[in-house]
Amino acid sequence: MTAPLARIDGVTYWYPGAVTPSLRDVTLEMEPGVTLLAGSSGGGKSTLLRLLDGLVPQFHGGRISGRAEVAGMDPFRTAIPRLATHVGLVFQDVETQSVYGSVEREVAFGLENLGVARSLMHDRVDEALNELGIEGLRRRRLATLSGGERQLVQLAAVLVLRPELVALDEPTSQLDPGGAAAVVAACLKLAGSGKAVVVAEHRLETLLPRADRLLIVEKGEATGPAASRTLAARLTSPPPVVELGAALGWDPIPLSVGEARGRMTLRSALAGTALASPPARADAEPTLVALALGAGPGREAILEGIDLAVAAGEVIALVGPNGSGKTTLLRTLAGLLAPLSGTVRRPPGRTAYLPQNPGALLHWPTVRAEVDLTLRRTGSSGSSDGPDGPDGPDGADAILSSFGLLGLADRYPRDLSAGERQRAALAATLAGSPALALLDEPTRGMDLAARRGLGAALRSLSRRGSAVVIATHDVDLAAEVADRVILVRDGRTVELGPPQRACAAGSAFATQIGSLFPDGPVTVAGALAQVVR
Amino acid sequence: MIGSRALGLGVVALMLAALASFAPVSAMVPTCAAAGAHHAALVVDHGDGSAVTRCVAFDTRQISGEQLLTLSGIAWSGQTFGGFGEAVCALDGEPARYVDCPGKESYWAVFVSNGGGAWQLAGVGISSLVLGDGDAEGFRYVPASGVAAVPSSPAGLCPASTPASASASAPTSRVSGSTSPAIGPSATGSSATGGETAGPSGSLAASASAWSAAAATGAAAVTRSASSGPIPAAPGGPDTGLLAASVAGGALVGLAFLRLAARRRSRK
Amino acid sequence: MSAAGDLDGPGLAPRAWLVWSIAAVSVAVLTNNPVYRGLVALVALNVLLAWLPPGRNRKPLAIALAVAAIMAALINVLASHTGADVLLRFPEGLPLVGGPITLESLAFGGAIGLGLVAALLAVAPLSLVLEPHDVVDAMPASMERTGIAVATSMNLVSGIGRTFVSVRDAQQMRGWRPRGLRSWNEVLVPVVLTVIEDSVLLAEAMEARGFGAGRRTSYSRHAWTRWDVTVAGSAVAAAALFAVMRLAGVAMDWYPYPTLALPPIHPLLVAGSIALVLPALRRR
Repeated sequence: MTAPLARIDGVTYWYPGAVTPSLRDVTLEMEPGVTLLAGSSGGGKSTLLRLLDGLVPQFHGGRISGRAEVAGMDPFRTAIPRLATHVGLVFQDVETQSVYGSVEREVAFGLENLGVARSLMHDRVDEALNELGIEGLRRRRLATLSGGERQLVQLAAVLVLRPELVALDEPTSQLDPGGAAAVVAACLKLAGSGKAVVVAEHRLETLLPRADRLLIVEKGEATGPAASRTLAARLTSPPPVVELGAALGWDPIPLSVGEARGRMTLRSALAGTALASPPARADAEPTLVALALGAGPGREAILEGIDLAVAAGEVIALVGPNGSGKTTLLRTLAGLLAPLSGTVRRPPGRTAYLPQNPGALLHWPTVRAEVDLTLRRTGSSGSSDGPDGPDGPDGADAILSSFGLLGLADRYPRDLSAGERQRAALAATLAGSPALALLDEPTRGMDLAARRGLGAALRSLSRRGSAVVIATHDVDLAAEVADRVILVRDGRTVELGPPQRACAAGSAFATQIGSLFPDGPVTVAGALAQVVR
Repeated sequence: MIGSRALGLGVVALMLAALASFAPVSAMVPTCAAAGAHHAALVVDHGDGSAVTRCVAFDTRQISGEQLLTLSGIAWSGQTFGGFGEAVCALDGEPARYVDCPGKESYWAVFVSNGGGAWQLAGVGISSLVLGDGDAEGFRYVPASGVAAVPSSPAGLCPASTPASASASAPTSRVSGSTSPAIGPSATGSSATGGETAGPSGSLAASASAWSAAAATGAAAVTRSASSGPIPAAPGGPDTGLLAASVAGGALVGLAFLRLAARRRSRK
Repeated sequence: MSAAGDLDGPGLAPRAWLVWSIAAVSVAVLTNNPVYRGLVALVALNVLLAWLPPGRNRKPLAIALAVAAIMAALINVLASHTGADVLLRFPEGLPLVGGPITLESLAFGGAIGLGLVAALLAVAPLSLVLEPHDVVDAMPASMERTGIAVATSMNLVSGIGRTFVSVRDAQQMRGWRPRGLRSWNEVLVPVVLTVIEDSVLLAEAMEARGFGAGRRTSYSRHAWTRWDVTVAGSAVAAAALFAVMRLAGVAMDWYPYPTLALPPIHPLLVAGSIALVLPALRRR
């Protein structure tokens, strides 16, 4: 049994000015291998990771009690640069982590800070790049790399200091599936070479079966680390397969599709009939129509000949790799970009648009104030001080509760955690009854409960006649909410059909449930409805 | 690259040409025979039309406009402006009080007459003017905008003086900075334009044509003179500096266009 | 080394670039003579065009230059009322601009604008040609922290544009319209808040990689080649020439009052201005 690399003993921590602690009496030990850190947004995962390299409490301030030891040093008092040679931390947002503009210099930044001799730096940079297999990127400019490549560069920038423990705070939340896979593969490889790797994530599908142990942090309290299988049932944002297994009370709980195969049969499979597809809305009159649309962020078109028709009350999911033009398409549909060719016809009434970093647009003193602002500006009567008051179906309270924000309604939105802020921005954007809602990656960084809440809110919108278009990497969201899935690739769109087909086994966008039941349901709810024990 | 080596040679050549024209003129300076041997006239036209005139005698062969004014005994106050030199703020009690110098509504315009020729605007401060025997310095209190009218004629104020220069061209009134030795080509040839009208007329067209005259005079006026003495005419031609600047400027503009065109082509 | 995303290196040693820029700006500032300023501007333009990476849109720079020059000229034209050639007259009653508008003040204003353009073009390579890490390398060792602050702010600045567009888009779709100055709060306040938060995130990331430990070393060392010495030396010589001749009292300034006259043009100073063109001559 190897000695633990980090030991935390009864730590309780308050951020400056906070009333409730972010970590409550946390006691745990970190060991080599991959530790998966899971928990709701705002529950303390990020705080715990920052505790490991001394950013909490040294950089952030606040009050702390208890003891901790990382690589034999005290993270409360040891200077962070010293800790940096033992603990590396990779953050969520690639853009705000980069100091320089080139890969080589970015990786060498840490060596410069520690005064390493110039003659040694070159080889250390080589070593770090080779460890991740990205030597080919050495002389590239950071801005020309994809998101996944940039996160690997940031990981190399941390590895160059030769830490024994590498912590990553939601490294894949902004990446497309290809980039996410590359980062996850790198983490596993690092663990294989003897380092301790701690990864905080919301999307657990890939890592859960491969991690050595699972650590859950909820409301500041830590459970574990322990073997994934023993704790998986207590996850609040489990992968679909785990959710299904937990709902059915399976023991041992399956952690991956492979483990779940053959454990259950479906009523419909027994009866030999395929699942009925949902009623087609083909006869409904389309309210959002794009004809031969050509669009691009500048004067050059990256999308050509796009034909799209969305009926009132229909929900469309746009999928495809980063950079394929999903954002450009959404902006053109919203009217923020003029089409370079072709036409767009929008439904009468308000169009709601959620950009990719929605937390940035909040600045009013309370979440409720932001929602009221939208309601007032768009002429709806449901604002908190409007004639109908906040209680009607269009009211502020309705939208706040549909996103689980009633308890946070009077908080300053920029003080909330990332996931809570995301929900606040969604509420502020979708308030009132927009005739058309366009959302760009709405579930980035969201846990399962928030995602289900968004799904419910979108379905409620669609029931009231709004057309909804979502660009997303989140196949589970698409499977749960969309009526149709459309792939954007190489400047064109490809109809993938309803989720039953688009997210079924063998598709590039298959959900876990879809892989589990070929020709069957693609969501947990769908599976639960038909299970035969 | 567009003949970068050739361009480098061109630059070097230009620099050599500039240096070559730097021909120090060391002429023998004949000294004045007796005290008070040289005279220059001074005319001061007030705003109300009244005039004060003087003939000022001086020992040295040349005298600065400021020294001339001081020698004349007329009360004056001034202000120094950088490379411009001394500007006259008040002269002979006008204006009685001032805030701005030169004044915003009216100011003292300074003129120079070479050897009794027509008045020309000085364009520099009086400390930068160099006057010799037979020249005249004029002041007129004029409104700030519009063409400055010339002062009354200096004719007959001083005893007739002999033409000083032994060379074919009439002596120009040379302008020097302060004390250090001269550098730069001597001003010549341009003196032939000494007979032109002073200052541009009111219309822009005339002022443009007068500009070319003033250019020659101005360029001549502001380059440093060699030590005193008749200045031999340059082998006919405008100022080297102007030529160098025009050639260089043209070359640079052309190069910039070439590069822009190359970039546009490579972008296609 | 030929892929579009690859770095070629700064060509000249970064510190040589810095020396050149400072010298060129000094020349543009040491005299108000439009001939020398114009030459410096043309020289700097050539240098910029020689070194600018292909394909990057430089129209914003051109627009900024034009705006700066025009504004400088306009301010002088409207505020200064001396000069012999009157173009038009504003009623005297107007507070600042009342009075005659003259050709001379227009010309003088043009000289001021030209100086601004020359200075901006002289400094442009530091931002457009050099990478952020080159700027850090160019700083003298004692100013290294400043250099890093400058480099990281350059990264942040490029993020500001994206954030601004995103926030403006979102607010527009929520019913915001740009109506007067106060209404821009809806866009500017979130952008400023986001930039502040981003810089805190960056500070955190930097500290997590050991920044602030004390003695730093530098990854790259740019040994000066003979060409670097030539470029830097000639630039310093040019600036020194202007300084010396000014101190010696050589007339180099231009006072187009009361009437327009050609500025004094000294061949040596012309040669000095042109000497600044050396960086444009050899592009590795």
